[in-house]
Amino acid sequence: MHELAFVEGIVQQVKELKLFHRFNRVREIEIICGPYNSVSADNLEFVLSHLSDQCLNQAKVSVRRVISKYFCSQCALEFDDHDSIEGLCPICHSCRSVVEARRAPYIHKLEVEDEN
Amino acid sequence: MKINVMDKLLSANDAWAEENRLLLRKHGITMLNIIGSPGAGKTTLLEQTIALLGKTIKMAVIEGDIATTKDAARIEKMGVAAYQINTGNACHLDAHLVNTALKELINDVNPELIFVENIGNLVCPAEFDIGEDGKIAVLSVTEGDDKVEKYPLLFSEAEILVITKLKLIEHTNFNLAIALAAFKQLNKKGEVITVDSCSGEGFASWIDFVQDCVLVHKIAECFK
Repeated sequence: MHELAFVEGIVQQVKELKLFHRFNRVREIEIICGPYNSVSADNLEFVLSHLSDQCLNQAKVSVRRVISKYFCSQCALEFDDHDSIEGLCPICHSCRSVVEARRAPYIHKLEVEDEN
Repeated sequence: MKINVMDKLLSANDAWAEENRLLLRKHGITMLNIIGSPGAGKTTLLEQTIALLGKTIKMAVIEGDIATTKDAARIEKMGVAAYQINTGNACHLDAHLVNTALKELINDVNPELIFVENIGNLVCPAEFDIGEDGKIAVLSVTEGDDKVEKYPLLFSEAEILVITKLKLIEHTNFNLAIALAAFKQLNKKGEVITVDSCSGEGFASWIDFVQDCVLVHKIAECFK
């Protein structure tokens, strides 16, 4: 069900972008999100395909998952998942690190077809 | 042609969540978002919390359910104001739905603490910021110790994991150590509390946590 809310966000953003960049159709939507977000390209494409809006109903969706960011409360270092073993700070080895950003899903890029 | 966007998919929801946060700060209210599966024991946890804290903290509850007002009726029976949201078939509460309830409860009750009991679901409610001060993950021992790993978003986001139905653990193959290790792997700062809402076991820690949440916000108010 949350896919409907995601698609609502896509429709809204595409509407606004259409005012600035004149285009007919969106070919591809690239979404970036965190490793745990429930974002599925197939589900989004399915919902988009049911839109009456010709601009979006054939758009392909790709989802790129990026790692979360940690913040070490001991030495204030910001680091990524792959720099760390089980969240330990790679510099001071403190375990007092917190997940700082889980990367809420956002539209990274749109590939569109020009009006001409 | 390619267009760089870099805009959140749920930006409309996030704007409402921000409005909820402003509303909560303005009235000095703490809001905790309780998320767990259907039958995890969310309403029973609230009933026991009201029984223990209802006289010291002015509370209200926003109940989210697909259908019926059964949970709101249970809360009101305990003497606490409840606002039932029936989503029809939506699997989560969003910030706009909560905003309507929030305004009404502030107007009618002006509470210090609002619990939002989200729709029973471990997936969708975790995706939506409703402007809460913290997410409370509720997991019962009857659900199995693998749920933390299976639904990582909620457990990585939660301020605290409350494991319920502790008295039933001997009748299940729930391994507390496995669940705790999985939670710590995902969430370095989150606390874990084990409770049994029917017997009241483990409630001292949970009540301390709730009181601390309210106190922290009251102190923050003083420094505004």
